[in-house]
Formats: sequence, structure tokens, C-alpha cells
Amino acid sequence: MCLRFAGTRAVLDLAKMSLSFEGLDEMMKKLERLDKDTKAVTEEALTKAHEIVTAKAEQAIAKSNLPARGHYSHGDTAASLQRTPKIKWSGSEASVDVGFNIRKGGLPSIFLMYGTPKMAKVQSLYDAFYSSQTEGEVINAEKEIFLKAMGEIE
Amino acid sequence: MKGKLIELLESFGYPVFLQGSLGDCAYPESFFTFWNNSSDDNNHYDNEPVSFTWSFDVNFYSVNPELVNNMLLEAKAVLKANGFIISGKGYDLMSDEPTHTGRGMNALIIDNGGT
Repeated sequence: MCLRFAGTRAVLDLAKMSLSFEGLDEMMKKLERLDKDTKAVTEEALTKAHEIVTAKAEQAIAKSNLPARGHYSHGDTAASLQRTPKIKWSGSEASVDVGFNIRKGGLPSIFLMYGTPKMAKVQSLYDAFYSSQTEGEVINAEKEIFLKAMGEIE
Repeated sequence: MKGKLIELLESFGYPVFLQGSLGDCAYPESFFTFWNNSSDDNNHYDNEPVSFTWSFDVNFYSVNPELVNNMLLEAKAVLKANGFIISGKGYDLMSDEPTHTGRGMNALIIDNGGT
């Protein structure tokens, strides 16, 4: 899985997304042998992953995609979306926060992401974080950044 | 797979609804809801999918918060025993009614049925 969320799910508050794809360890070792800055490459890949997921979430919460075409939306949820990638390092593992900040008005994201017994969920919002399509796009983008850093593609 | 999920949830004796389908109806005292997120292809043979991964949200709501916690874990055990893949112990959900609380989990199951 590429979208490895630590702890709870994304909408319950900001979640951590870290690098994880087949062949990552080998690519890291090769970058080290080439004397490349593995930290910079990792941060570039996570920034790209954040950009992909956040753009999808942004699109999903556009008023036109919300229940009643956003008639009841005040924009608080959209405002709480973590748009700036903040890379955090814990030892040798890096992560980036994605999702909605509950303390900054993101609580309705839970309604939207999972629905309620009376309101269907906004599937596109859920898919922005958890679909296999998103996972595939993120992995491809991350691999491309690593391959470019290794000089294997332009 | 949807039928299998509903059958297993109904075995607990609570009503089972599609998430979002209650409309103007009053909430029952305790109940399950579910939602199918996806049924992605896994493997292919001769350009045809031969297995799928079904992804479901499984939710439980009740006026009894303790039951909400316990029933979700009981449901997890039964679903896992019947081939579902569930990680974690669930997450809190929002409810339309102040009388009810809810918890949910994501349940995956591999379907080798083809096409």
C-alpha cells in the first residue's frame, strides 16, 4: 500500500502518508551508491503524493459535487484541507500530513466521507484518499521521481 | 458478496440498511448500515478479470454507546471468520440523530468468481 495512514483514518484528523512501494529499498540503495541526496528525493516524492491526493480531495468537495450541490456548505471543510505539504521525519522515515484538520473546521468531512444513515457518502471524497486509482497514481508519480533522480528516465 | 455481507450482519438480529437510505424514517434503536466502495479487478486471464476485491464500509449505530463499541468488534470477528479482511478496530461516525452514536470499519473481501 502506498497510502499508509498511521493511526486513524484521514478524515478523523490529518493523517500521515509515507513512502511505500515495491522496489523502494533497492532504489534508495542505488541512490546512495550514486551519492544522491536521498532525503531531498524522498521529500520531493512525498510532496508530489500530497499534491495528487489533495487535488482530488479539493475537487471532491467543490460545491457542485456536494449533497444539494453545496447549498448547505459554508466552506469550512474546504478551508480545513491541509493544502501545504509539511514533511516530517522520524528517524529515517518521512511522512506528510494529508486530509482535513478537525480543529480548523473539518468535522463535516466525516459526514461527507462516510455518509450517515440518512445521507449517502460523497464517494469521490473517499476515493481521493483510499481508491486503488489514487494509490496507483501516487505510486507511479513517486517511482518516476526516484527513476529521474537515478538518471534512468529524463 | 453484498448478499453474503448482508446475511452475516443480519445474523446479529439487527436491521441492516444501505448507508444513506433511511430518508425520513426514524432510526431503529440499533442497526447496521453498509456501503460498497468499489469492486476492483485483481487478476486477469485472456484479458478478462478473474478476481475482484470488494470494499465495504460496515457501520453500526445505537442508542447504547457501549453496544456500539462491542457490536462492531463482534461483527469484525464474524466477518473475518467468513473471509473478510479487516484491519484496525474501527472509527467513530457521525449520526443524524443526537440519540445515536456510530462506529464503522472497512471490510475487504476477495471474490474469485470471475467476470
